[in-house]
Amino acid sequence: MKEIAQWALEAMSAEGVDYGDARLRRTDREIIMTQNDVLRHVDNFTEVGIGVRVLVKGRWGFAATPYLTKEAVRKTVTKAVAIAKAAAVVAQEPIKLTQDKPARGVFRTTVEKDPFDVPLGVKAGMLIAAYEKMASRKEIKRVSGRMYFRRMHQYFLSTEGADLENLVTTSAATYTATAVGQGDFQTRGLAEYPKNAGFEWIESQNIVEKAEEIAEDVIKKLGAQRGPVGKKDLILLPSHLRLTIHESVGHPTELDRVLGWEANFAGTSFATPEKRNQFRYGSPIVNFVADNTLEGGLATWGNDDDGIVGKKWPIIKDGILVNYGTTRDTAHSIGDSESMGCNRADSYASQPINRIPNLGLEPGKEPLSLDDLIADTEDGILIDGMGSFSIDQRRYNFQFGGDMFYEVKKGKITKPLKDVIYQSITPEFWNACDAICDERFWEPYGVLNCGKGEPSQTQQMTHGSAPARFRNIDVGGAFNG
Amino acid sequence: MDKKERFQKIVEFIEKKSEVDDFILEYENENEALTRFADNKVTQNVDSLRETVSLTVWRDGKKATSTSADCSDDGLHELVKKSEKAVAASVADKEYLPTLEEDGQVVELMVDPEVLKAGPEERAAIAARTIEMAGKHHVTAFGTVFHTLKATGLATANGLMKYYENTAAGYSNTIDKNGEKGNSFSNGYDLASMQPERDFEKALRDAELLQKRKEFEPGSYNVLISAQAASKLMIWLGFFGADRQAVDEGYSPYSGKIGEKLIDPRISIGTDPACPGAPSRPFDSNGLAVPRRMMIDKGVLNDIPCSRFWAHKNGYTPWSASNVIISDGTKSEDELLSTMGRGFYIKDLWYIRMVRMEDFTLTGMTRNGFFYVEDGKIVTGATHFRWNDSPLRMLKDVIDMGKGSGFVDSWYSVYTPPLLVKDFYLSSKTLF
Repeated sequence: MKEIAQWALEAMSAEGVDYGDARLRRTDREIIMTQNDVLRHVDNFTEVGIGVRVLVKGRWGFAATPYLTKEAVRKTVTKAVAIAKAAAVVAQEPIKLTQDKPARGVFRTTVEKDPFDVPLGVKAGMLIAAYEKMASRKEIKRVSGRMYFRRMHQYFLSTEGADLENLVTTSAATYTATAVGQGDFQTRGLAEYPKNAGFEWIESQNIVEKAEEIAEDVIKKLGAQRGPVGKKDLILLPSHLRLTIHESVGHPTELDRVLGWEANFAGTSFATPEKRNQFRYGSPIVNFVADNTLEGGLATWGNDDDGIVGKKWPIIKDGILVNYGTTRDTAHSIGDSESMGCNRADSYASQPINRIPNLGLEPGKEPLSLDDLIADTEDGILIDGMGSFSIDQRRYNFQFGGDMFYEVKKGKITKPLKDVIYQSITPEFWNACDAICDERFWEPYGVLNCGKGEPSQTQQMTHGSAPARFRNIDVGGAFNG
Repeated sequence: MDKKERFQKIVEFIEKKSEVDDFILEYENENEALTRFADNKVTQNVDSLRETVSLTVWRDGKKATSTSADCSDDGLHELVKKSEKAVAASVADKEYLPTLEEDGQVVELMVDPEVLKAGPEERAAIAARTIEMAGKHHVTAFGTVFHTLKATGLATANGLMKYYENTAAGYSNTIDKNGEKGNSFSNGYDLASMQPERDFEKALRDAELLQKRKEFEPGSYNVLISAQAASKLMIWLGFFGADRQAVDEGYSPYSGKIGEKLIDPRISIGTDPACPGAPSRPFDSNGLAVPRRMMIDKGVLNDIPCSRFWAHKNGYTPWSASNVIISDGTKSEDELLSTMGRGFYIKDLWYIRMVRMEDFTLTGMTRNGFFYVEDGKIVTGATHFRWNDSPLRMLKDVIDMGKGSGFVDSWYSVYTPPLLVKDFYLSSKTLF
């Protein structure tokens, strides 16, 4: 396989490019979807191809092909060079790369059980078994199950001498129950908890055993009181916080977005470079660390698609914005001489772009359990799981729902709620964080479907956190109209 | 060998080699070329080819699907082996129905040869022209130029074989003047759909008008939503709740409402793959022809897309939608604007998500061009809002509609008019 990537480098050398890299990638992906006891969809997908990226006189050119003959690879390089040269008509500053030292090495996700070797009947069977645990409840009309497995095997070679191989495996499972009754319909899901790991990770989650609790929860929601309108203290669990972190910290600190490169689609960021080392993003207990070395992290690939080996660095320290997620073609814009290794493509056929790394909220430094946090809260709402989500194009105004909600009064959980929506402004929200549970309660939930770029790409990353409390947040305003 | 011949050869191979009870084969070949510019420079310049074959097989009542990007004989051989191994280890398909037979559908290709001729030089020239104009006006340009050719083929073990090709061409730009942005885009299956000069002028005009902006308070306001913005909102009607089984089982916003008047009687919503402004693939993933059919007909909920299985179980007619087509009026946006009293003109919307499925409440932001209107005239730009509202409620309380526009999206094509709507809920402010 690696020889195919070397053909690309030979062709680049013949074309006289200023820089070039070749990513030969094989992706295996399996998606299993069930509905009640029916196997609705199962797709076992394999894709192999090569993407070649060249810099010619300061202009990028990218081309990709699934045809892996020497002639086809050579033609693809020629096409990439032609695309770069065609852009010479545009008068612009040349694209510049940081001068990172080219790396060599091999990275593999730790896998005990290859999910692709586990029979389909076993995997689908687990989802159907979860439904069967709930089927006797007359309110439960639909249980939609999903398992997702992905294995990426890539060779990365560059004209600078980088020589890297990655084998990254991802596993995830979830199901959602829909209940109808009391004039309403509601859903409740087993929170999807994806990891770069093998099938042993799915087995460890006991997804079938949790089904009865999920059924109880969704039926509770049918008869629950609608969420209040006003200001409440929110206790947010890691299964929920991952998305708030993703939208309100992850995206605003992607440097290409800060520079405006996503202005036509995914938007820009308020976290502009002059704010670095000065801007109070959150309260002093708020610390965000990017870590592409995190064991099992969804963005832990060994290296990114610029060939930069995975790093760990602070993004927000003691509440102050200190850094960004950067790539070789963006880092120098803020005076950095090295990339933080955030350039990733979702396929051989996509040009890599600046993506969020594994980005987590550090646990609290003092001992604090979730029970302690609840006991310390007078008037609040506890939120578990993900629901509605939306944020503005500069990453200020956001609105989130969740999956399960409980009223907290005078230090106790009193009753379930439904249709809770909260809204805030990013720095006001993170400055309202006054308590974070300690490392015993830190959980690395992640997202598998972050969308960005034109053409659009999907990417995965982990956002770990411990339960945290946010004071005096607006709730319920979505339904006032 | 052209793509159709390639597809046919693949079908012949699978028919010869596969030893299963039934199958559906789907072939896709997509060449996507795009030039992206930001901050007055080209930041991405890509040309990618993807080719896949997806084989869904049934044997002994079990089902499995395998997909491969290797369409060589060796690759197809591996695909057949993999699919037979997967189906042996699978579970029973309780909703199995025999795959479809030839139905005589005539499939019209939506291919513009002019799009096929466009290459990196043409895209670079359009980007260069935009950046040049931006320089002249002392503004910053961000955007894309794309040309795409997609081929899809579908065949079944029972003799159905259909093939469809479509081109797509598009241009979009966001123009930034002193931090204020206007945006405009145009796309369609043909090259003539792209209107870079017009889109630049529109976006520039909005950015200039936004140099003067005022802050307003949340509340319910009459709004004029441009066709461009409405396309992003109405596409949601194609995603959620439009499933007959969900309606019958009680967890759709349409449950219990078939036959009811849901929206203004001037409006019909449905699907039509041959809609020139928003064409779409005319057959679904079973090979069933997508009809021209109204889900909501003159305001009344008429029918809901229905799977083959659910139709068979309940005696319905199965059908699918492949685009969202909304009936329109005749007025231009400027004419609609002139009839407004007080309210807002929304040129673009962003980050739209479901809030409550029960009544189809969505949320999102206003974005780019957003203006306060009095007596039919734009008075000033306005700082942006989050909104929460339901497209069904909006179409019930529509004041007027204008002449529609079509947009081709990677998920669903949409044809929609600009809409003058009563009491749109702008729920909270942001900081810009």
